[in-house]
Amino acid sequence: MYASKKIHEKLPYEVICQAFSFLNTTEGQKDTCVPATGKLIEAHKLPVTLSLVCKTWRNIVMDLPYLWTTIHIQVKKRPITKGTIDAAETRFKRSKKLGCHLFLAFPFHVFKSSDPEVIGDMVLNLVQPISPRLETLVLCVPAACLWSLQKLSPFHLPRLQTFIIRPPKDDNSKLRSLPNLSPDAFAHCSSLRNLELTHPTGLGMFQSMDPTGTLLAPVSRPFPNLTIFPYPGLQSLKLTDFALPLRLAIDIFHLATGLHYCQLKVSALRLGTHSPIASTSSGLLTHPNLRVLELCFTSGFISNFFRGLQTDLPQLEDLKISGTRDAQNLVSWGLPAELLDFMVRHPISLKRLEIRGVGRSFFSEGDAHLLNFLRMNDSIEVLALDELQASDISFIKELIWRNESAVTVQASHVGGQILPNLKYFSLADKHPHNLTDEVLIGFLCSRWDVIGESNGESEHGEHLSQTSSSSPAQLQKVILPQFWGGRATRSRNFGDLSRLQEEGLVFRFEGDPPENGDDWAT
Amino acid sequence: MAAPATQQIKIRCNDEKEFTVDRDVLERSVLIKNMLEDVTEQQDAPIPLPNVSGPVMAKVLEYCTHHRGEPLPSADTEQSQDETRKRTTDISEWDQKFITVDQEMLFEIILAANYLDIKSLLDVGCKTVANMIKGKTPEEIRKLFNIVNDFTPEEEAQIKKENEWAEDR
Repeated sequence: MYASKKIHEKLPYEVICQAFSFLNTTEGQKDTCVPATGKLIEAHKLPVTLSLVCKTWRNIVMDLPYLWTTIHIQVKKRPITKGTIDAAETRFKRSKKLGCHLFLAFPFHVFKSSDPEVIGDMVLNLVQPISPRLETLVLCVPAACLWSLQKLSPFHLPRLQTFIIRPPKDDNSKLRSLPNLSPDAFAHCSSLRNLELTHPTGLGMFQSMDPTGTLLAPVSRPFPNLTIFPYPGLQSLKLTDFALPLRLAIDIFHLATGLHYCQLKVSALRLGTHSPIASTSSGLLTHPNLRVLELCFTSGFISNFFRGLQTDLPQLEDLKISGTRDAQNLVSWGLPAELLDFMVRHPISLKRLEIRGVGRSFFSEGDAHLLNFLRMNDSIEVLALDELQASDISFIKELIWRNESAVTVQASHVGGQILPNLKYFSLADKHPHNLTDEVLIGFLCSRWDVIGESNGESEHGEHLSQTSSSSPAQLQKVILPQFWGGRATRSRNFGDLSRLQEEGLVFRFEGDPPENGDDWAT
Repeated sequence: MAAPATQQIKIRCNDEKEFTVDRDVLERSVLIKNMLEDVTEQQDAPIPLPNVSGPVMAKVLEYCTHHRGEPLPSADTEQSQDETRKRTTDISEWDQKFITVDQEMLFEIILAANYLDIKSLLDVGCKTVANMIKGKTPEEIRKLFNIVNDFTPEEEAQIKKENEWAEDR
């Protein structure tokens, strides 16, 4: 049924304006506080969509500056042109004096027919006029274009809250460091909340490499003023293939004690076997607000990171450790003892631990540390493990597989005494032959070990039938590799799986489409 | 000691429907609150509300009763929200259920909230309208609100062009 009157005949002008104002949302994401790209695209298209409804709405929209504050430019075939600059200027003029958000993205290959410096100047022409009121600046452009931004004068970004440099994947600028982005301007940018810097090649942190890839020497610091950390309000920090020297990145982490979220990521190929992290800070610092810490290093780097860490992390809930994609051929030392040592020195209450892609033989070497770590963190609700290898099978068995041997005790400890709050456990494996359906069944049965430790039955089916009704288990959701799906259905124990589902355990196989509102971390 | 009796206030809607309501419930409306403060003597005559009908007032009172005792938004809060315009369209579960009405009633509630100056209710109504618009194409919005497209094809093409410079896919 349609309304008998049009909305703008029914509702007064100011009420329609207010409804439109609720559509203009560029709020940050939960963890990183950075506005999601999707939100920026929506905010960019919103005024045009509303304008196209009818002339009355068009007039209303033209009068509302806050609808014109976001520009999202994403071109793939051609670089930005003079027409783009003009259109952007027109839009920003409509936003009057309000804070603005600018997202600019184009790939490296557009340079085939264009001079990078000319395009760089166009980027500068786009940014400069609105720089005093920029709140979000996201530049996903080839690094060669960024050099023009050095011409930005100091103090021109007084309202900047989010600054992101994320060069395109095809960037082949061959730059050894990012340009010096007017450090004086950033040194006084006390409004900055979210900082993300990604180096296009990963070479920015080192002066040079010899033909075998051995690192010769770190470059001089491109941001000298950063030695005195200038962002007192920084809440989210994300450094990938550091645009800054690694030591300086760690210094920033130490000094940014207001952080809520931190991700440090560096490619193994950029590092070789070098592990140069050492803290230069003095005394014990505290990160009172840090909730999420993500590290993507080789395990040697992770060791060094925690060895050098001189901070308390009392609020840390979410620790994600992942290996670099190119770390497969490097020696892996397992979950570093330094991490465990750190936890002993600075107890924290983790709710979530993810260990993914950490390279060959990670768990077989590091299982003792991980088990010890788990024993010390009984608040963990989410445990995600990945990239399991044949050599890890004993570890997995110790962790989850219930049988009649002494391993059972350890499995039940993991399920019951060590992780009483576990609600989610994810296992992924690229080598199906490593894991048997007994492991699957054993894993699912281990859920009942939480409540059935005294049960002496040897058959899983009997065990389940006797204990599953005694009290509800904490574990609610399970994700398993797709190949297990077929095997499970052929298994003689599939009846047990069906029963588990009937008991309320939801499990899904990798590749299944997520359900609506599914917030599983995959 | 017994709690002091809450003062009862009588209101009359434009369809002569009358309600007798606790004063603190009615004072969710800034309009009525100011009227009551301006009246020094006790009056028995109902307060006339010529812009609100009985059925709509019943819904408004349901909202005010549920939210009685909650702090009213201060002028500072409103100003800072207006300045930044970074507002969320999230609606609480109870409010969501309350505002699940047909479109005619939704507009009437918004109009009443605007007239009675009940900021939080007006926000709930406007957020609901915003959520109805969100993610829709201009054509879908027109259909939803019974709006006629009064652009010529040329005008429409010109407006569409305003967005083309930002993408080339």
